Amino acid sequence: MQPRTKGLVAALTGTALGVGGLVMLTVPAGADDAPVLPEISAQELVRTALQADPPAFAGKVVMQQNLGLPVPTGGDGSGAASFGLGFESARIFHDGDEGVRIAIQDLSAEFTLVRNADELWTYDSAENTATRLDTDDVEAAREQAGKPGPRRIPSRQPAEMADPAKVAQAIVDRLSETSTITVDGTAMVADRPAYELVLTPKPTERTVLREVKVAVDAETRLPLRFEVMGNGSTEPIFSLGFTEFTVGAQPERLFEFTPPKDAKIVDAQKALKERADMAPSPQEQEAMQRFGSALDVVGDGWDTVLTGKVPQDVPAERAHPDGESDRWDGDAESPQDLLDGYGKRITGAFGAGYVITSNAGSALITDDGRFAVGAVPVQVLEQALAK
Amino acid sequence: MARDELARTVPAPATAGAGARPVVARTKGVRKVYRSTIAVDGVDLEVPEGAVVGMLGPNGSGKTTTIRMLLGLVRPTEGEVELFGQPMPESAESTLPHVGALVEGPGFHPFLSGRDNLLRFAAAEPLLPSAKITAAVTNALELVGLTAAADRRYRGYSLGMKQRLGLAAALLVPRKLVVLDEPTNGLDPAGTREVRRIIAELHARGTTVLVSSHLLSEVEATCTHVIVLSKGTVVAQGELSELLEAGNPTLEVVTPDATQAVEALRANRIPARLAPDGILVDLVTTPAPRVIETLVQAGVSVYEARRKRTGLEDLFARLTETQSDDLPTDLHLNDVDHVGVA
Amino acid sequence: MTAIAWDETPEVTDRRHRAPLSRLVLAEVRWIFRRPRTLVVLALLAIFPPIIGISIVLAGPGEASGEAPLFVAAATSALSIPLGSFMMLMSLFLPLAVAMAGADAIAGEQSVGALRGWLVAPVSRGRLLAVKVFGVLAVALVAAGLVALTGLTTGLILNGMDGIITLSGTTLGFADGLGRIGLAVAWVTLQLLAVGAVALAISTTTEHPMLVVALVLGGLIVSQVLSVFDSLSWLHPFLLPEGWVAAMPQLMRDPVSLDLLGEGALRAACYVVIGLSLAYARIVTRDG
Repeated sequence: MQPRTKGLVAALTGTALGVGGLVMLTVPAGADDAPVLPEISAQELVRTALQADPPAFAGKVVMQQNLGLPVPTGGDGSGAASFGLGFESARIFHDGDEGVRIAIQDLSAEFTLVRNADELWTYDSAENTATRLDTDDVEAAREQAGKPGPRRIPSRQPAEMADPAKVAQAIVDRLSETSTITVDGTAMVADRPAYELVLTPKPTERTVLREVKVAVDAETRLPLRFEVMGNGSTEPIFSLGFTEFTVGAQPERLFEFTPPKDAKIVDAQKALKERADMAPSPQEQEAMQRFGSALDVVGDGWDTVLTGKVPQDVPAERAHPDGESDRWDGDAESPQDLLDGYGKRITGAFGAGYVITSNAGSALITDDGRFAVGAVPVQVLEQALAK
Repeated sequence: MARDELARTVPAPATAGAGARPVVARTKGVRKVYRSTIAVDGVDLEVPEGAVVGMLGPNGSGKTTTIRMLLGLVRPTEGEVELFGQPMPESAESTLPHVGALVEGPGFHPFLSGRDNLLRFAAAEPLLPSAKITAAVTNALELVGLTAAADRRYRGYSLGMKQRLGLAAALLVPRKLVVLDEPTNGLDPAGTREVRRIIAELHARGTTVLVSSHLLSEVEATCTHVIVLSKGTVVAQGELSELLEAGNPTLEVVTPDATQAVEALRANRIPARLAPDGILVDLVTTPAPRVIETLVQAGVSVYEARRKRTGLEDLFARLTETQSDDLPTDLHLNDVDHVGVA
Repeated sequence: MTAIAWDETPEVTDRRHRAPLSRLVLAEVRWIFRRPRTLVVLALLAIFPPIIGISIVLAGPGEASGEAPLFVAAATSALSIPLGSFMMLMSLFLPLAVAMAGADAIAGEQSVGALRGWLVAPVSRGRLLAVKVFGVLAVALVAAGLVALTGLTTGLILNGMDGIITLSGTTLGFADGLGRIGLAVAWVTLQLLAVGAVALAISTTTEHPMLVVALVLGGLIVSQVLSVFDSLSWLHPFLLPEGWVAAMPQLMRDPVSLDLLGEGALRAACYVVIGLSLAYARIVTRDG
């Protein structure tokens, strides 16, 4: 072969191979063709999902959101962290029994939760702090403190599990009042065949959401992915699901935890106890109560709107100071500035205020401190407040 | 070194024609085009075994390109190249191990010493066993007189030392053919003599040498054969002695009494004719001393008498003069400096 | 000066002769690691981790956050200095070392005329490229190995032999820690080889080594800038430096999170294949 031919062949073959490999990398996992699975009814799918007993597995969960909020998100641009959702990806290990390890990953840090039959540890690598709890105390502490405890997998409540068929029926019935619930085809999620359980709002529902999809693993019947779809977009507004999911025994050491040397160890038992003992001040209690009683739910199903009144120390407008010092001091932008910058001023039967819209819904806040939030168009919020 | 063994490879007497001997290197209708520039156009040349072939031509005449094609560094656009009867560049791995080459000046790494540079090249020599590398390098350094400077960095070498190191690299291994592109470039007279000695020694061993030069004197001093290149084509090739003698020898006599001189010579049956500064005398039948004697007896004042250049000299002089610009080809012979005196 | 002291000149046959590849590689490596410029870059790479270590000691624990450099975010682990050093050095300095090696390997040799010496020996074009690839690989391996060596040593001195702590809060044994650093070295070497393959491909087209270095580093910087734009996310999997920053902390998790590393390795392998095939195509057709 002439060198020119040889060179040309080498260049073409090598480049084709290399580019082919790179293209392979761009194909997202689970984009394969929909698998063929036996037909199943929605009710049966819900029943089996409720009954499912998670096997030992290792998986990776990724969260993506495309809320389309006009407000700039956190400095890292990832968005998720700024909304208190706390993570973009996490690894989950489960021994099929009590043991769970969840690792929430940051670029160069990790928040780890290890739970086994006896104890629950959390470890924050950025702070080098380990926190310990007795597993038995977790539930109690949660009740006592009135605060949600650390993340844990959904525990199976024996009472509810008494008759999964009935529970499934009840759930499906309840949902059917406002939604069409179907098993709409199949999908590959984390390389596993799954059923897509789809909830579509009934035509009477006034919502900006198109549908909610839950992918249920065909084999284990575990939910693998949760997606919220909005109108006018094929990309989910919000998606939380496994990108990797491997069923199989996990090494036991993953469900044990020994804090590293030099780590600060927090006795959570004590901390929680102290917290519980430290009763809120009467003012605090009163404020909480007032806020709680001011909350109201208007409508049901997809067009549910939450209304209420902003607590007094968060003034909706500077014209309404109530003597307390501005707690937003030090920050460049006050809530008022934010509203001016990102909200749209509207007036209507409800009065006057600002509206902020996103892909997932909208929020309305009036000049006199009332607010309404829902996965609905603005008009629905206006009506809710005008009532 | 067993010098007595060399006798069998000493070249045949010069009387044998170039075609009669085995040919070490040959090109047939070779043409090389770089983008739009034609570097070499239809070159046919032969390097006979055992010869020292001088490739003569002004800069840009295609000498280096031809050498690079012979060594398989460059693939000709058209035509065939053969080394030891094998096609190049395809047979590079069977032919080039027997060829030592210094092409386009020495190419070495400035941060390495001369010895380390040679060791690096020696590692690539297929015919050199690993165990003999160090010795071969030491010998080569000694051969070119660089032993004292061997461990100095190449960066600090003079132009002549660099050239010698290049020569050493070409002579690391026993060779059948040594190709030297302008080997005396940058050398002082002593260095030039040294190169000539090495070429002569190679010749004596029976190694074929192809040496390029833009100086006729260089070729005259060392070569048995000559190939003259101009503007990418071969304008003459053959044995040096034949080429030097080609054309009628002529004596040019500078004299104010030109007419009288011509008459005097013609009276003695010596062919002569007028020239701008004097006369031209044909030396085919008469030796030069006889011409002078005749003129002196006739009372003609002779200021200067010189042998006019032979065919090769004349040809080469014309090439050298036309190289820099596009002068008309019909040169006046007497415009040029003389090369030799009879 | 002496007379030519040759043994008997062997007869020419049509048998092909080749110098042993190992001898060529050895000569190449010897040449590379005697180049003053290469040695300076390697020395700078080697002292980077200890400098980081000293800075940490002098500055005390920094502002800890998930986005901080690894050796700040996990200052108490012996792994954070070697892996954090890789994270920082991958952005420019390590690629610079291999880009220089790739540039010198062909363009640099060509510019001083030394490449011809090997070509007329002869060394066939394919073997020449193979030797050059070995050379670039050697530079990549030595550069990564040096950073890992001085980094791990610094980390162990500062945090003790029992200080091999992962981000997941587990403490590793020495062998396990060493294994992870070994994996890091292998991974970084592969990424650097990808940079080197591209450098070699460019190197075959020019006689100006500086041009090669400038193009390679320029390409890396452009890639890193492009990877900032979310709107170009479709392009990101094609960019070699994608994941260079995020990959190293994966080795500090327990168990090791291999997906990013695997993806990065595959991407680098693709670049190696593309770069070397183009380099081969050019070197066999190029005039020597």
